[in-house]
Amino acid sequence: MTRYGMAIDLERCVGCQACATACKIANNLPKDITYNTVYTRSSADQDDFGTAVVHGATANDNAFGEFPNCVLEFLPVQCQHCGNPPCLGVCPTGATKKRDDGIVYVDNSLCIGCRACVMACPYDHVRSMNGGAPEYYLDVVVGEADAPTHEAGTVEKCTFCHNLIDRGEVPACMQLCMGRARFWGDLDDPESEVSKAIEGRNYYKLRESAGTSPNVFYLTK
Amino acid sequence: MISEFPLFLFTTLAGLAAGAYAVSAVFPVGKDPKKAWLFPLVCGILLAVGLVGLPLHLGRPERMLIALTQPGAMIAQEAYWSMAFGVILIVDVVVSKVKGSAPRTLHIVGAIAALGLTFVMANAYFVSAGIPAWASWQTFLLFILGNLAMGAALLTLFEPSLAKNGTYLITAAALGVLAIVAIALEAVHFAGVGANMILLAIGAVVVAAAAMLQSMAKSGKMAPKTAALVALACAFIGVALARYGFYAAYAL
Repeated sequence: MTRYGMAIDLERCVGCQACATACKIANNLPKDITYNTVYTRSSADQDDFGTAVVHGATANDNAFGEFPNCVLEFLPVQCQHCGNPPCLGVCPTGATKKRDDGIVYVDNSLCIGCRACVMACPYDHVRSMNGGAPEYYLDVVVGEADAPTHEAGTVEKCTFCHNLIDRGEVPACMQLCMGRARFWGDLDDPESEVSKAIEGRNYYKLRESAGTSPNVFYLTK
Repeated sequence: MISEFPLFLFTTLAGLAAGAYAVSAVFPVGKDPKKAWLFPLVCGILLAVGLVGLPLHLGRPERMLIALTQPGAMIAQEAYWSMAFGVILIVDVVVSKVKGSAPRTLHIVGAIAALGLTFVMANAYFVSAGIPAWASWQTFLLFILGNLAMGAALLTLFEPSLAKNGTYLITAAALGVLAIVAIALEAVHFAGVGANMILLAIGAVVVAAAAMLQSMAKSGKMAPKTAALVALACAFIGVALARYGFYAAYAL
């Protein structure tokens, strides 16, 4: 059975923000909506995301630690498409759905904007609320023709670009990754790119203590 | 204003009604047959005004009806428990108006519904893993004891004899002290996760004033009626301040 997941090699991520940009463009995201954030680590704590300009930081290139042992590391974070997603049970309308292939998404035709999913999710900022009518940087629509629509009063998040993968492509964040740090595929298929990337590597998952069983793997040394 | 003001409105007003009705199962109010309907009516109005907060909390209020199709969701559970509690209040108003009093069994069933509503109110925040300040066991104490403390203080408005009832005054003061402990525990938890706990601390001090006034009334150091009214004001304002501080931990 297909179970989609992603591996992100933190040894290869250079914090270029291309994945976040690709996501923003491919999904024609409004100004205040972010699906994918590349954080700059501010401590060695694996569950501490760090800081990001999009969430109020003044710079993206701050190392942590004490000189001369400073470390500059980046942590791309989007919806973890959890095996046990807490957002699913708390959604009052069934707008948050989980596909058979493991992709968790929000059907904005059902979303009532109650933000229960935002509050239940242990991963900060992976969801955005369209508080008012969406505003865009450009006067023209960009991205994929079948990208998600954006409606006032609804919550949005990463879809793993299911519009792309349903036609045999890969998520937009992978397409522009200059460090080739992202790997995508079926976690249940040992021959998939993501399974091969994980095999034999050290990895961790974000905030596993929350019992979410995330399907995004962070590869380390 | 906090982004979750509608939820603050709901849990404070509906919580006051729930707390008062729960405590009234132990200390009955409305012994005057001509006014017995007034207490459940006021509780019903508080619940109804509070319930306006639920759809207002939604980005698309017209879709609240869809939420009722998902009983597992917190907002739906709050709505269903509110409906159950509301139906009991309506029955209480009608029976009290017609017969001059409602059966004790109805009050006990209503108290169970009120406590159930209070529990699901707290649980809705307890499951909010994305907001560390809320997702702790202290949240249950904050809501349950806060509702009972301000609810107990409300009863004297409808049953003036309670203001001179020593057992009631000791119970109300004890609930106030327990609410202070609950607020203090939540404040310590807030400080531990880096959330602002100043309003919680102020709220605890104001609730302490309510408990002190009830104790003074018990020992005869203050006029019972004055003590009861000021204690009600202090209990309500103190719990409301603490709750406002609780909601302020989450900003949209």
